[in-house]
Amino acid sequence: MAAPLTRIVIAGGGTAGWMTAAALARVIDTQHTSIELVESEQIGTVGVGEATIPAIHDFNRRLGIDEQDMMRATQATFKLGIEFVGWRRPDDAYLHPFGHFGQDMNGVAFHHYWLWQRQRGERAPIDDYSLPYAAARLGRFEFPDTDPRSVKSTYAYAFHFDASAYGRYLRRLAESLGVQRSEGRIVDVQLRPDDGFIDSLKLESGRRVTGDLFIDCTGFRGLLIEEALQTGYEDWRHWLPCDRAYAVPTANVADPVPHTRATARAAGWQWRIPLQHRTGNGHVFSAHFMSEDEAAAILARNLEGEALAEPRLLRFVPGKRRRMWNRNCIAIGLAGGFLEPLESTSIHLIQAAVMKLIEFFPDRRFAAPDVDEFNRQLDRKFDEVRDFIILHYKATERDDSEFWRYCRAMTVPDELARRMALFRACGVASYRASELFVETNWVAVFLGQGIVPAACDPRVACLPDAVIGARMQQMKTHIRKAAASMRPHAAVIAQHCRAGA
Amino acid sequence: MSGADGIRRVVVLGGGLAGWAAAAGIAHSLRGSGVSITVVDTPRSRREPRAVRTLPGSLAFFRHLGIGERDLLLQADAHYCLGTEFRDWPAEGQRRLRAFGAYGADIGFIPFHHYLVRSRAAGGTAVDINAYSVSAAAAAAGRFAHAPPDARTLVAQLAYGLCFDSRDAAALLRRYAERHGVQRVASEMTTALRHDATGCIASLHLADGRSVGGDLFIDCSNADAALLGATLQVGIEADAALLPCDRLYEFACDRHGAAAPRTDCTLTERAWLVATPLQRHTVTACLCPDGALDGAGAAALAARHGAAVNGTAALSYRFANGRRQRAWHLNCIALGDAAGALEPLAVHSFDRVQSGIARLLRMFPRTACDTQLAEEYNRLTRLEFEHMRDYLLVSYELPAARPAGFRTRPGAGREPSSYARRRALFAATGRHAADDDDTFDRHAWVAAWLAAGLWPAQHDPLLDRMDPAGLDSHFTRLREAIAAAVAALPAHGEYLARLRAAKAPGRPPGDR
Repeated sequence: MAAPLTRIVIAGGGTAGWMTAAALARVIDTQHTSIELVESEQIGTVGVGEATIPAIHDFNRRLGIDEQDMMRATQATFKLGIEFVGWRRPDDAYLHPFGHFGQDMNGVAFHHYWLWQRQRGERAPIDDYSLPYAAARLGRFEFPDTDPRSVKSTYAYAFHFDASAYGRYLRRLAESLGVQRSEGRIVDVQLRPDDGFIDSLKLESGRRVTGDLFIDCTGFRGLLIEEALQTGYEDWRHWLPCDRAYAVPTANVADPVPHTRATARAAGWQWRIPLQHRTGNGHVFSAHFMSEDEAAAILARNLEGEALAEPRLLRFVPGKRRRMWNRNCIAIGLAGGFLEPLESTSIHLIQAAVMKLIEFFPDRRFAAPDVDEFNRQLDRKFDEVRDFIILHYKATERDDSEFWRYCRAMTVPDELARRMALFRACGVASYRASELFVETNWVAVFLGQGIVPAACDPRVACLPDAVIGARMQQMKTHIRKAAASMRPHAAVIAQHCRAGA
Repeated sequence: MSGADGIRRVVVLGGGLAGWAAAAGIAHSLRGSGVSITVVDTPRSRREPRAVRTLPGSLAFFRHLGIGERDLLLQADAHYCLGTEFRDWPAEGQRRLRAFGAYGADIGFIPFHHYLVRSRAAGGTAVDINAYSVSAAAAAAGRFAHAPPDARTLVAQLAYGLCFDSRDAAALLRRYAERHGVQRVASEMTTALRHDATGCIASLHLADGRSVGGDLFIDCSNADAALLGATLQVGIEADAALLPCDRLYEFACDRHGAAAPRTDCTLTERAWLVATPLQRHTVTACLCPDGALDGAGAAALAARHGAAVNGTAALSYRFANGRRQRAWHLNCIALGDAAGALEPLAVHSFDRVQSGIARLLRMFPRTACDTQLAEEYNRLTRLEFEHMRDYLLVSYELPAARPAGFRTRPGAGREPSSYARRRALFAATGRHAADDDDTFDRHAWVAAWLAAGLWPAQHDPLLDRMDPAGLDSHFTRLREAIAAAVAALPAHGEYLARLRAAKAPGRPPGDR
């Protein structure tokens, strides 16, 4: 009665396709269940993100990827957080660091003590209590300490890398594990007449690629999930108006810094992602509020190094497929949904979908409860990331353009409205245990965007003010010293993972 | 925040276990802040079931206060508990153990139980999940010990809660609370006075003529819900009404020798009999629909099932299954049964008391009427309650063949959708629908489903790439190692005697 899958077909290479292929090849026996990835060299891939978050370590570990080796192959640099410039006000900046602020005392989160001191006239920004902030400012890096008593255990790191190179790196891994790659453009998707499941893909060469399970990694258009299965798409433009991006690489003008930068512009924002050999740049904007020409001009005006290529325009609709898993098709990557890379979550959302697929790995019967639960859990993951991104737009004091005035006034999802009201009232950041962004992430962005709670945790009053003040002073000193003792980011790269020429 | 509208006076209504636990927890957490805490110790609130059995996670409450397991052994008659044995369940003559902690060892990405599902379908015989759990094996064998600190042995995986006497534990917590400045006022409450403008509670009038004013009121009056229910008129959600038992009788029963470190739940035709072992005796609770049995009938039923009811008067406790619509309303927060009761089969109300206290401390009100915080507190309380209710419903997964009485699956077809979804998923593919804020993890759910005889229709297809013989020998070794490790443990009674005799500061490793 068992009905194991015999053929898995992945439509589309790129980061999503190869991440899926490599991860699946690690857990299934490709002798019995073949994995074929169909991609065409004629179709460009959208190198999503290029910046990652620390959860990628988990993915790499599960695939048995050697970090140094991967970093060398992808021109990678280290990342300690994202600097947001001009989001709250045009002249304001903060870092969303991969790490804690200060030290909790008496079981009370640090930011409550910071608020308490602030209510007493202390003006030091909370960034002063973040080691990754201090290190990023100095352009320094060191691997975190595993000893929880050390201040150097209070942060994590991720990577900036060339996502296309990461895809190629995973391709080598996947092929070594038995994944078969086929070159060819998909010209048709054939459905089974009886149940509407996908039967096969027809390639330009005339070849038919049959399979039991199809993974749609064809990008925005969703060749299988949408064009063939008409699954439907939730459009989130009313919450996330940006729907275009110009991307362009530039030459490095200095040593790469260990953080991503996201600078707010009049109708969107601009990213800067430092790699070893170049810098990735892009301008994400809303076509409703700004013309493509103007957006291109803004990007050109705000590049720090020489452009190494013509800017490329990407069009997208922020949102999510109604069902990421529909019949025998699972959409992963942009085919499943698109959220702008403001918090570097694109690769993570691919990772989350691949891991869920492994958790709910089907056989040919495609049990409905599995499919429903997979969709329920991934929907939640997308909603959660979406809300976190919306927060950056909604919580702003900017009113210097039509775009920002729209964002300030827009209605946000109920869940986010509830979280914002709760934090504003009392400094409690509500999150679920399984969420990607936990208390420290929400606190960083809430405070960074200017939501200062009206009241802090009453338990701070258990410690005398003088004690709180002295301990906080001590934390600041420790952090300053720890950051200064780290090595220059470029020196760590040179020693650890310099890419070959 | 410490301005005129901050919380300066906390009043706890109820001098039972919940009330003193709340007072001790708040006193510990707010020491030095100048907040005063008064417990209105009402005789009514002390008429509560004596037998408490906690989940492993609840011990953190005591640890946080600096109260060790040994303190509970010496002062609250505590007894270790590794799980529950269900008897005459799901079918007559059957016995099924559900232990705390992890079962087996996952196979890469694949949860362990899929191995059992496949073995069973292939006609394998070693498919009792309890053979793959140290806690289950020790519970069955009546053995217990702590592993040495930092040991990476099988014994270090023993997951346990405690059984203890609620009155003794309340006394222990009372001493702790009074040492930390908590005031005690002993009297029944007559009425609660409310502010005209806000509706918030202003003060409690007591039978002895005194009045106790406060800014924040904690309702620990058990099923009475004297403040949240009677005063503030917050009603009970009806969705848990599909649970049949709302009357509990409790008897102290003589026992010869030591008991195994587990509780036993026997399903009879008219009631559940829950035997909770303490050191000096066993407490048997008879849990039935109100009106189905009187005290004498319950005692006779327990005696027929082997309980040596020792003649002391039975305690009778009535509760209504279901959650109060809001556990926190205005300036009143209810804990334990006052916030919502459930048949104490899978979870004792103390588990909700302690998690409620932890939640309350994490979100202690800044002002008397903190609507945002209250909303968040209530949201989390609701999720917790619903998970516990769903987990409890597994105990009613009974074969249709069982005779009538209350022994039918209550509300079959009327289950909450959260339960139906979980059940359908597990029944189809053995997958666990992980939910945030669920008190029970995958292991607990899987053990419960399998104990009830609900086996998935298929196992994880990824398991098929594994060599069955290799897995068999791997898990046979695990089973044998568990059996050997448990055989080397001392009998539970012997171990307890050793712990009691040990001189402080030789605290048991569990207190580290």
